[in-house]
Amino acid sequence: MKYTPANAESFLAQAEEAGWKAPALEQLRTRGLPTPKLERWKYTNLAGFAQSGAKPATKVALNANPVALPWMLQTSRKFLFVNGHMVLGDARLKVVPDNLESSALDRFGDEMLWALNTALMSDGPNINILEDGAVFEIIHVGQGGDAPLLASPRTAIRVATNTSATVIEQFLAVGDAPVHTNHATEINLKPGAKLNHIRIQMEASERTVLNTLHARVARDASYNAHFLNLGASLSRQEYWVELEDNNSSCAIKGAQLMHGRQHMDTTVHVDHKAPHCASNQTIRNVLAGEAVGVFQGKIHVDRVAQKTDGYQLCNTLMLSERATMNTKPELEIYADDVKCSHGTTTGKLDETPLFYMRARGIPEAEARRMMLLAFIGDLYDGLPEFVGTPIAKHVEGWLNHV
Amino acid sequence: MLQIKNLHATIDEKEILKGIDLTLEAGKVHAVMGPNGSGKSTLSYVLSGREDYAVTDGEVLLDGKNILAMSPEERAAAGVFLAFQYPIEIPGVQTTTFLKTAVNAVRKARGEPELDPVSFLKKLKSNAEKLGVRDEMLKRPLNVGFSGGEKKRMEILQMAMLEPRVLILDETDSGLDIDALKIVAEGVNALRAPDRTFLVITHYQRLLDYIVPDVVHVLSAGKIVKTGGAELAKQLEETGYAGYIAA
Repeated sequence: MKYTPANAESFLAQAEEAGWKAPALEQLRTRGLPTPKLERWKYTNLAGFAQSGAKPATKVALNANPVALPWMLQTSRKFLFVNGHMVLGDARLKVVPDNLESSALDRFGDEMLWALNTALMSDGPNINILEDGAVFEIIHVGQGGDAPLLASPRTAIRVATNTSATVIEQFLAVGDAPVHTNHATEINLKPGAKLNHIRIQMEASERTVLNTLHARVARDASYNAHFLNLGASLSRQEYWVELEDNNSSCAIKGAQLMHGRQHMDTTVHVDHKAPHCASNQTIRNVLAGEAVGVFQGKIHVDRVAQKTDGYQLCNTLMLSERATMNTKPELEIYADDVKCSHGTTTGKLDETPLFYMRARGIPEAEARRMMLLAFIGDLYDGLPEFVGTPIAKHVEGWLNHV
Repeated sequence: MLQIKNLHATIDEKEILKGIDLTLEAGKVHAVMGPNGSGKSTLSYVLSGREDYAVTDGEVLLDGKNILAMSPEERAAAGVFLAFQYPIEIPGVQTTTFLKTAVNAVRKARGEPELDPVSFLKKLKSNAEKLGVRDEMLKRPLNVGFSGGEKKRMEILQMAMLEPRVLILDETDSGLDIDALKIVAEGVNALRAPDRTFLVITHYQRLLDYIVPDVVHVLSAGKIVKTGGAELAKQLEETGYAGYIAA
């Protein structure tokens, strides 16, 4: 028995019965939520989330000054969502049923979180980018109430032909009470479009943050994602990228920094569906305390996708013997003229350079900090300063506390 | 200045140093020569505080104070400097940043004011020029992609910047061609001073043609087995270590 239908019941009781939601509801009724019985969910268990009794969050005002939130730019187009509902912004998601399903996602029969988002979705930024060089900023605030809540925002981003754009997303907490988030994102890049997508997840502890993203990348287009995962007690983010036509590319780079009993999962699936496409996955994990990290990365190369250049590297640094890292790199290649590489390393901080630095008078704590910063290294190089600087501060702030 | 008394040290429970007695006098250069496996590198690591080694007996006194209980960074602040036989590559840490952090950490620990960026760069530039260390090298991650000679020059540059009092050179000549050896030796000689002492560890006599020692010790099987003047090194060059290897 692969599925556990009953474990989605508490959410289903509250799902909206709009006609176009029928397929999603049906999927949830027959399958429930993912459990570790499913291959791709082996390392991340949503039992706590399924049993949280969280109710769909309704619209509330922000218990803080929106101006005081860590916006990165004055001039960007800003969206603010509180518990999945828009509080500030100039575009709303039009509910268009045939725009909502990404059937390509459900290849393994385990994309119930996408269905759950469809069933409960409240609101979300619907961004159609036509202007070259546009920057959009989205802040998702989880704001605790009296009882556990579930926010289900849906983001759709379309970038027009030969247009470059930047979208920054931050996930923040106001208050400590549990608000879980199940966010779904659809990205559609037209020929020659370029999207820089930056995500910083700093949710509060005792919260679950789930992100499923599906990007379709057309000819000569490129999707560049950077992420930094710092918060939540349990998080899973899935990046599904389809390189649909010649010379399209994607890069997914980021770090998961975890301590205490945090659990962080990044799962990436890149589909090379056409020739001359390139993909890059560069993931770094630092684990302290009793944290559990997961990286699952797959490069799938279609029979027609000759001259594919696929790259995947996951490096993990273990600062504690009680932490656990699970990595699953996979290549699935059906074309014969491709260049694909993957690798993972998991290890402790190297004592030899540490001794070398200390022998030069650098105190141990500072030497460790320098080595950890060097480990995160060039991940965020090339990002514009307005986002690179806050990311560097978050990383340093984290390192100063472990 | 530095007194090593009856020093015993082990690694993985194997005894490498078996009772070393050695006195390093201020203003003098002391050579320690010996065959492979005699404990030369172990001696340098134990003096600089590497934690893989366990000191099982003896003491090391710097100005009468035992340094064996100190951490590596405390020893560096007290003036101990080890030029590594194989300098370590530190990816992601720019050489200049590394040097600045080290210099200021040591100054702070010595109760001296930190150098402001302008004074630091001035000092770095003047030292780097003398050693033929190019600006481009200072911008790269420490030792990453450096040739053997560049790495050794970088060690001497660090030595000059940190202004130590006990300077230990572990096989600094290994991997150097004759031109690089001359530059390195000149850099070392420039640091000779009445309040500094040198411990030059080497397998071959060649280095000692350029850094002329006041005293030469022969280390074999974890003990000093012979002590003499500079002529002892020349003699070893002819006879080899065969006479000193313990049965």
